[in-house]
Amino acid sequence: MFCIAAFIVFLILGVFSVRYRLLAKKAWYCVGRKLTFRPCDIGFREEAKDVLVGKFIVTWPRFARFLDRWIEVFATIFVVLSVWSLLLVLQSSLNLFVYDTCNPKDVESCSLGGESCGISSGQQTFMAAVMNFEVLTWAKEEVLLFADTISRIPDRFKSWEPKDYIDKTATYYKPYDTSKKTALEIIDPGCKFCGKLFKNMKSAGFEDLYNVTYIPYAIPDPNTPSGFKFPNSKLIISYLEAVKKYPLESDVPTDWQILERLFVGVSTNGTSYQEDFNLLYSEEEVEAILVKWLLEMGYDEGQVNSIRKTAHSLEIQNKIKQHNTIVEDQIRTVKIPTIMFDGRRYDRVIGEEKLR
Amino acid sequence: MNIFNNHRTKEQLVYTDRKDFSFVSDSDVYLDSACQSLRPQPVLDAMFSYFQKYNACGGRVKYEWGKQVDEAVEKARVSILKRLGKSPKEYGVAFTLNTTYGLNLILNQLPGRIYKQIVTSEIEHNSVFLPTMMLVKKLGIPRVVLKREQDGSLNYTKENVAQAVIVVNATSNIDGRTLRNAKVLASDTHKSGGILIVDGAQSLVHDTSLLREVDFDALCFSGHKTYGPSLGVVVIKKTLLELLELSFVGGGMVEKLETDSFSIPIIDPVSKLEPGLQDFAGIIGLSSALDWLDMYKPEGLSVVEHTQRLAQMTFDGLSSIEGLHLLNSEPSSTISFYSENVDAHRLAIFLSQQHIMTRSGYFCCHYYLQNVKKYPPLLRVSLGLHNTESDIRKFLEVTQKIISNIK
Repeated sequence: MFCIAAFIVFLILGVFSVRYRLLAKKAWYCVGRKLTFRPCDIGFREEAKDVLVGKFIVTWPRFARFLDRWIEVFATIFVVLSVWSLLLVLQSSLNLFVYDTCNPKDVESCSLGGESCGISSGQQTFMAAVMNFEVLTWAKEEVLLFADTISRIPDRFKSWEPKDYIDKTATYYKPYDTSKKTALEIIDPGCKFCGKLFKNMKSAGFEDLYNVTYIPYAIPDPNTPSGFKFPNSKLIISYLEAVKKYPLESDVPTDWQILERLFVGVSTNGTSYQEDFNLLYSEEEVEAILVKWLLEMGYDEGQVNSIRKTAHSLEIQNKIKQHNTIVEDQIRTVKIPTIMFDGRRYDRVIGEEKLR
Repeated sequence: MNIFNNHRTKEQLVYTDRKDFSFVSDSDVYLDSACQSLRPQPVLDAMFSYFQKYNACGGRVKYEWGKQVDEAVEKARVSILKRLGKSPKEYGVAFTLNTTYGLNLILNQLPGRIYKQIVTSEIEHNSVFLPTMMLVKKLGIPRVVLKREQDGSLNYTKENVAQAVIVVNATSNIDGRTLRNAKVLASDTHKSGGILIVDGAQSLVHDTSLLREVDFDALCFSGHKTYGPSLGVVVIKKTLLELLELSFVGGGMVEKLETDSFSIPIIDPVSKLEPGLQDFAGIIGLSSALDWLDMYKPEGLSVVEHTQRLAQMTFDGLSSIEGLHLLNSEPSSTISFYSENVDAHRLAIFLSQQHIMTRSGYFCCHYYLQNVKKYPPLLRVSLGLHNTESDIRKFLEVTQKIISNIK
C-alpha cells in the first residue's frame, strides 16, 4: 500500500519536478509488481519509507518510531482517501457535464454549476445515512443515481426543441411570430435566479428575437410545510395557468404580466415582490396581492372571481401535474431556470451577451 | 601566453584551511571520497582555463593552442610518473575513462601464449574480479582467487605466481588495507615469468610510498578518486605495452597506414591505449590535482597526517558506539561497518536526511563481503581532504543518535 501511496504523491509532485517523476516511475514499477503478486525487488518501499523516517529520527525520535511502525496503516488510509477523492472528482466531473452541477443532490453546493435553484432529489447525504444507520440505502441510491447519470449522457448531445414540450395553452411574451424561433424556459416563480434570467432577457431584447414561452414549475421540497422550496410558488403557478383562460386584449399576456411584476416589481417595503412572497407573505396575503394585480391589469371583479375559482380547480391542478411530468420525466432538469433555444439547453442563468 | 597563468604558484598552493572546498556547504558532510573525491577549486580553475583559453585538440594540430595542450598533457604524464617514482624511460602513461576501463584495456589485449594462469584476490572490486573472469574465457587458462590477510598482504605460494597474470588492488575500497607484500610479490612474480597489474584506484590519493617501491608492470587508477576529474590512468611498462595485441584501435594511434595495414609510432607506444580523442580538460585537471596534492597543507599538516588524524578520530568514535561491528582492525581513511540494530541502507538514508553522505551495500565487492564473509549490507565512510574534525564529530554524533533512537 505504501508503494501506491508513494506513487500517488510522486505522480503529483512529478508535475513540477523531474526528480519526483523518476521516483514516481520507480513507485509505479513496485505497484506493478505488487499488483501481479510479485515482490518489489528494488527496495523502493523501504527507501521511500526510510527517507520519511530519517527526517525525524534525530530530532523527533518518538515520532520517527511511531511513523516507522504505523506508516503502512497511514499509507492505506491515504490510498483509500485518494482513490475515494479521485472517484469523487470523476463523478463530479461527469455530473458537471450531465447536469451542469457537480452535485445533483445538492445543486447549490457546487460553485461551478452557475446560478440556479436546485431541485432536490430527496436523497440523504452520506453523513445523514451514517447517523440514520441507512448506509446501505444510501449506497443503493448512489448506484441508482450513477446509473441515471449515465443514462442522461446522450441528453447533452441532443438538439433541444422547445416545440416538443410546449402545449396549446402556452403564452408568449410578445405575440407569436412565425418568422421567429421559439425559446422555452422552465421557471419557478419563487426562484430568484429565474427572476434574474427574466431581467437579462429583457435587457438583451431576447423577446424581440424569439417567441419566448415558459413552463412553470414549483420546485418540490418534502422538508418544508408547504412541500415546496418556495412556499407560494404553487399558488402563483395556479394563477398563471388560470389567467390563460381569461385573456385580455393586451400586447403582453396577463400571466406574463404577473411574472413581470413578481420578478421586477418592488413592494411597498422597498424589497422585490418575489422576495416578499417567499419570506413575508402567507398564502392568503399572496392571493390578495395577485387579485389586486389582476384588477389593475383590467380584469373586473367577476373575472377575478372566476380566475380565483379556476386557479383552485382540478383542471388547473391537473395541468400543473402535466407540466411537472414534462419537467421531471422529459426534460429531466435538476436545476432551474432551464432555457432552451437554437437547439441548445442551459440549466442556469445565462448572461445578456448569450441572449443577444 | 603562459598556459598555466591561471594556476597558482607553489607559494600560493600552501594552504592552511579548506578554502579550496569553500563551495561545500557547512551543513553537508561528504564521506564518500572512496567513490569520488571532491574537486578543489584549483582543479576546477585549471579545467576552466583550458576551456576558456586554449580549448584545442592535442597531438595532432600545428596551431598554438594545440601545442599548449600537448605541453600540458606531457606535463601530466611526467607528474604522474614523478609521483610514483617511475622512470619515463621504463614506463608510459596512458589516459582512459576510468580504472575499470584501463584494466579491461590491458587484460583484453594480453597475448595468450605467455601466461599460464590468472591470479587475483578475494577482496577485489568487481572492476578486477569480473575482467579476470572474462580473461579466463579469452585465454583459456585457469584463474586462482587468493586470500588476503587482515594486514592486506596477499597469501600466495611460488606456484601461485608462476607465469601468472596477477591483478590485485594496492588499497582495498572496503577497509583501506594495503598490499603490504607488494614489493616481494612483484619480485617473485617477475622471477617466475609473470606480470603484476595493480588496481591503484584507492592508492594514489594517500601514501604512495608503497607504490614507489613496487616494480609493477601496470597500474591503473582514476582521476576522480584523486581530486581530479573523471578520468582513468594506466601507468604501464613499455615492455608490456609492446606485448599487447591490439584489439581496440582508432584515431590518434597510427604512424603509417596502408589499404590493409597500419603501424603504431615507435616514439609514442602509449597511443596503443589511447584510441580516439582524449579528455584534455580532464588530463589538465588531473595534473593540477596532483600538484595541489603535493602542496596542500590542511591545518598545517601534511595530507597523510591530516587523513590519519581524521581516520583515528572516526575509528575511535565508531568503535565506541555500542552495537556497531567494524571491519577495520585499524584506522583508515576508508572504514566499513554494520549495525546490529539498523540495516546499513536504512542508516545511509537516515544519515542522508541529516546531510551526511555515506555509502551502503557491498561497494562492488560482493564476492568477498556477501559470498565469503556473508556480511549483511555495510555502511562505508571514506574521508577526503575536504573533511574537517567538525564533519567527523557531526557524523559520529548523528550516527550515535540514530542507533540509539531507532531501538
